[in-house]
Amino acid sequence: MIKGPLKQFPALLKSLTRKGDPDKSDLGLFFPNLSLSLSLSLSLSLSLAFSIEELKAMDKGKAVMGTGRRWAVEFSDQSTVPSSRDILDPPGFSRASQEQDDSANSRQKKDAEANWKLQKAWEVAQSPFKNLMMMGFMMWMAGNTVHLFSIGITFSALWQPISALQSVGKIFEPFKDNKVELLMPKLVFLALNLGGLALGVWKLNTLGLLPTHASDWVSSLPPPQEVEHSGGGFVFH
Amino acid sequence: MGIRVFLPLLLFLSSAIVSFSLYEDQAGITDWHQRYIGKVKHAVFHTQKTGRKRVIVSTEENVVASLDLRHGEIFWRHVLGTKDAIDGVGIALGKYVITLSSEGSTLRAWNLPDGQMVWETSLHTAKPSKSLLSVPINLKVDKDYPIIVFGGGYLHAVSAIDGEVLWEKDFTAEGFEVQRVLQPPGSSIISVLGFINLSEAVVYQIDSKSGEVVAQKSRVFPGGFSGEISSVSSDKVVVLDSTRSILVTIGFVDGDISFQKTPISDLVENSGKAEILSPLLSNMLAVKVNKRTIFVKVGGEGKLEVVDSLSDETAMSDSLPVADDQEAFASVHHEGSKIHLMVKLVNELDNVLLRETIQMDQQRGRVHKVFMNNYIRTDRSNGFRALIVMEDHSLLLLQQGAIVWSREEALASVTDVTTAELPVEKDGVSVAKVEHTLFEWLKGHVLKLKGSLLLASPEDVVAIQDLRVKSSGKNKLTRDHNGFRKLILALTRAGKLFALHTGDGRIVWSMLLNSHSKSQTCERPNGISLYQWQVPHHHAMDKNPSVLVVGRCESDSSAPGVLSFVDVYTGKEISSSDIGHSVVQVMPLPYTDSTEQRLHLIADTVGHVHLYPKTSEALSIFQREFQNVYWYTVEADEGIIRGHVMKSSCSGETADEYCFTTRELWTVVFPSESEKIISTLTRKSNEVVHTQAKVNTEDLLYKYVSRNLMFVATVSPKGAGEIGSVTPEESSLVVYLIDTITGRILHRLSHQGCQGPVHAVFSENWVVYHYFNLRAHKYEFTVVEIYDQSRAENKNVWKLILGKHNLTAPITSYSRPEVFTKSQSYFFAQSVKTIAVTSTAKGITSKHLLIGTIGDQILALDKRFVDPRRTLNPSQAEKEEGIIPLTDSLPIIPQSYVTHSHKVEGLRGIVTAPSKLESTTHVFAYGVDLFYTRLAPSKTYDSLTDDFSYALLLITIVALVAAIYITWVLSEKKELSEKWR
Repeated sequence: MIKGPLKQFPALLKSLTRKGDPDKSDLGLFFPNLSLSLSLSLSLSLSLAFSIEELKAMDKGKAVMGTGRRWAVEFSDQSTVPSSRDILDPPGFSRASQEQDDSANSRQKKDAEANWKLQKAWEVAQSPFKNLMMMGFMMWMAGNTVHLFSIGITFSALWQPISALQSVGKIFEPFKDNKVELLMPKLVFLALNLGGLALGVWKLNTLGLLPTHASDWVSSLPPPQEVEHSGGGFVFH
Repeated sequence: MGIRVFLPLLLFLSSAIVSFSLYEDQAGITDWHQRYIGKVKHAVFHTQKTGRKRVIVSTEENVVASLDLRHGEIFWRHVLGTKDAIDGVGIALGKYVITLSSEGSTLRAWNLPDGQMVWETSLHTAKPSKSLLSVPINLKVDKDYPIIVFGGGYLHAVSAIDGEVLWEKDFTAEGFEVQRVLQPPGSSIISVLGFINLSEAVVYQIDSKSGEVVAQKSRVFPGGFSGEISSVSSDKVVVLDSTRSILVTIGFVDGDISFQKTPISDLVENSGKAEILSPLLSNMLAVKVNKRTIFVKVGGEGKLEVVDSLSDETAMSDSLPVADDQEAFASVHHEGSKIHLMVKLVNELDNVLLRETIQMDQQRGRVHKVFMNNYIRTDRSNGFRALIVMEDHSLLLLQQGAIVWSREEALASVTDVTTAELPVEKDGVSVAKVEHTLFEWLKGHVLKLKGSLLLASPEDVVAIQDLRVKSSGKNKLTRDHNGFRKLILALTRAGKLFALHTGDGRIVWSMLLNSHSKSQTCERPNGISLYQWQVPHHHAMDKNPSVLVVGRCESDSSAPGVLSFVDVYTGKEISSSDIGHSVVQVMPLPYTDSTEQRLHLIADTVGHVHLYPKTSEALSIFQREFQNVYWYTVEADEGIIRGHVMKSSCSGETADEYCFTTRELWTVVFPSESEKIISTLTRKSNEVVHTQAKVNTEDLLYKYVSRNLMFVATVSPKGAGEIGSVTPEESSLVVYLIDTITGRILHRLSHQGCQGPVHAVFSENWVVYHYFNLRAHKYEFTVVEIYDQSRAENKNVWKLILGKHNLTAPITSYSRPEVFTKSQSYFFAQSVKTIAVTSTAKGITSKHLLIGTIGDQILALDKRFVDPRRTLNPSQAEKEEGIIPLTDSLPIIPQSYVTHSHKVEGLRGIVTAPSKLESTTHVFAYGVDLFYTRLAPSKTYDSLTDDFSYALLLITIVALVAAIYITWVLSEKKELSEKWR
């Protein structure tokens, strides 16, 4: 059970790319649509950079933990797993009877834990709602003119749901249990985040940054070629 | 670590850019201004005070100037109006420069040292006639020194002191034309010699005090005179008779007129028509006959004898007294690439006082005029200097066998301008050569930083200014990344082509056009216009770019044309050809061949067009587009515009397969009793338009962008004269927009009570024009924008996203475009000489109108001020779009004069050319002066300004890198210690 730092690297990379790819594709939807001004792209890249920093910091923390530990001996009780038992039980010790004794107690315990997990999962699932309200308030404060503040808020409003949607699995991982039904909390979580995303897009549109107008599509069209050509004018004197 | 620092450094080195914006200390960094005077007509030397050696000149550009004889610099200069041609120059009282201009109707006195005007007198004139200025040297009347002026049928005596008219004599009734005013020394009676109808010689003896005619004698000469006259002494003149074969000596001794005829055939054998040359020599005259110049001495009894004969191409000066009743004159003639200057005594032509040989640039052509001046050397002998005017209008001072200075005065008469790229930078020439060393570079930037932090001492400020002027290698002869360094090619009236560098305005090369065929009829063609012939960019990169100069042998429109192809890099003529047909129009076509030579069509007077270059490839390209090439002519006098289409090859008439016949397709006839064409204009063919759409708050408009659109302005014939010469009811101005393919009038706009002259500018889908409103007594600007209604339904976003539209499909003028226009008018406080518009590489940058004002300055006016969507109270959305609230007049903001403190005297034209940087445009203005600057109409949004402190940035980066490194080390340490805990 020795975990070398090298072993974690591919996984780390994988997690990074896994995180990286969906946002790229999600943002990719927006890229052509935006009539990007310089400041816009700047703020976008800034927010991107920040979130990537965060991610890196998270992973670095893990990595440091991994690198700090050169070896480990696991003292955990493996007795529950019969297959891994290579030492015989001492005489007079009956494993089965002990398990039977504890079974009622542990089942009760497990039920309580599952309940607790479900409760927590629901709490997590509903947490974006608060966020949503705050975002709405911030957007209202920012107004409808394009400036640094409103653009920053709009892009954070877009970014938060996207990053949350990417990490749905991770967020609900602690509550993973055979007995806990996580589908509903997940769906609620997704719906709320999608709501947040929609709010961000709506804000983007009110700022006039979505190419929903015909002029956004023809402004880059050059004037048409002319078939005929004529020249002339006054006669040279 | 080193790499980390140098990488940004390298990045900023490569993006070092100069940009245009104008604070006081920025004047003269990107712009330059050159002062000229034009081709010299008269020169009067002034050497009375030995300390100030000056020459007063008047020129064909109506300039009177005082030049320094040592260096050729302009002491002072006055540019008179275009209609105020100078007829004569003289010096009165030793301190006033007297000029007579406007056909003898305006007499002015300028203070000799500083050029201030002392007085100005308008003289009566009745009819246009030859005018004459005579400043008698020692004629004194009651403490006054009269100047005798003849012009427009009147003889005036004007006081030199205050310009008051002393007396006036009306000769209009007799039709008397004064030829010479002679003043016998020591007498107050002046003799005025003239002709009546070139058949009767009349001499008036006039008392210079009162203007009374003391005596009058006249005598009819049976054959009549030719009008050319040479006065040889105080009582004798020599004229040519009307057949130009007899020299007549007119003597008027004792108030009696005597004729003495000498046939030229007596003087030289096989004489043809003779011509009296202008130099005034005492007791002698110079006659040009049989392509020779002969000197004829006039004896005491009017007897003529030939004393010398020179080659045809000799220029001579007037004679001028040297010591002891001796008179000398200078003559200059060519021999190969050298010129010989000789100063001879008039009485003894064998006695050559001075003989000098000077190497002369072949590109200056022949000597046209010589003005001689003498001075006393320290050893009491006579020294001579000569001011010579060359065929290319340049002015040179010769002294002691050398050219002391020269002035390229051809640049005062620029007729056509185009721009060209410089050669690409070769390997091995790097930016480092300009910046010397890294240390110096850093030092310069630290200085700039000090300047921006207000820490600089006065010496530092001077050093910063020097650095700025020298910076960025703006004078190098290679192409730069931003396209700021370019060549301005200017064709001048002298037939000389100049290439000027945009960095500092120096002449890179110059070339006098000459025909290679050396036929006698067409040795020096005069250039008409200039075209880009070959601009290699994609393929054929190894070729040098070249320009086409279209010239004509004579000024007559039916004279055969000459084409000259000039290499832009070297300034050498690649080839030149007499094309054997006349040139009335040149049309550059939008097609190029495989070597990037542009196809040109040249129309002649017969109605045929000729294709150039004459290659089979060009022919095949042209034949492919044969049906789509049209041409039109504007006959302003008849008020007709005609459109033509190519018909067939004219091989039936001539064997020339590059010649094509045309067929008239349409005509637009303006009624001659109510409309007269005064101005036509089309878009510049090389203008780039970025987009066809225009967003009008929520709505979308499609611009009608067509190259085949012509703006025509007509006025009622009564209103074609001066402003204010008609009442508002009599005059009206009508403007048209005409499609030049089909002749369809797309728009017509009438301005009642308005008058020309019309100055207009046409760009993209708009025309802005300037005219005079007689009712309001103000100048007005009107803008007309043309939009395409037939494309307006292309508004479905989904169709546009999926590309299901026909907006980029080629269009034809036969598809009957539905257009609508928007227009608006504004008052403008100034009269305008010319208007241009800025042009940029991609056409994205907003446009500025460049208005050449009556004060010879250039005013930049944002196009947003002439936007027909302006309203009195624009809505919030409109304000956001940059729409300015409507005002009745356009503002003149003093800071937006791009010429800042300079004046482009005699401004005639403004040319704009894009640089590679989208934000920036080159502006070149020409008149008597030249002015160049770079403009950024929307500020330099795509480059850092010159003031950008790289040093500050560098310091910040270094500090940040250091901080990162230190914190990294610290965090490592901390982490390590935490692990050991």
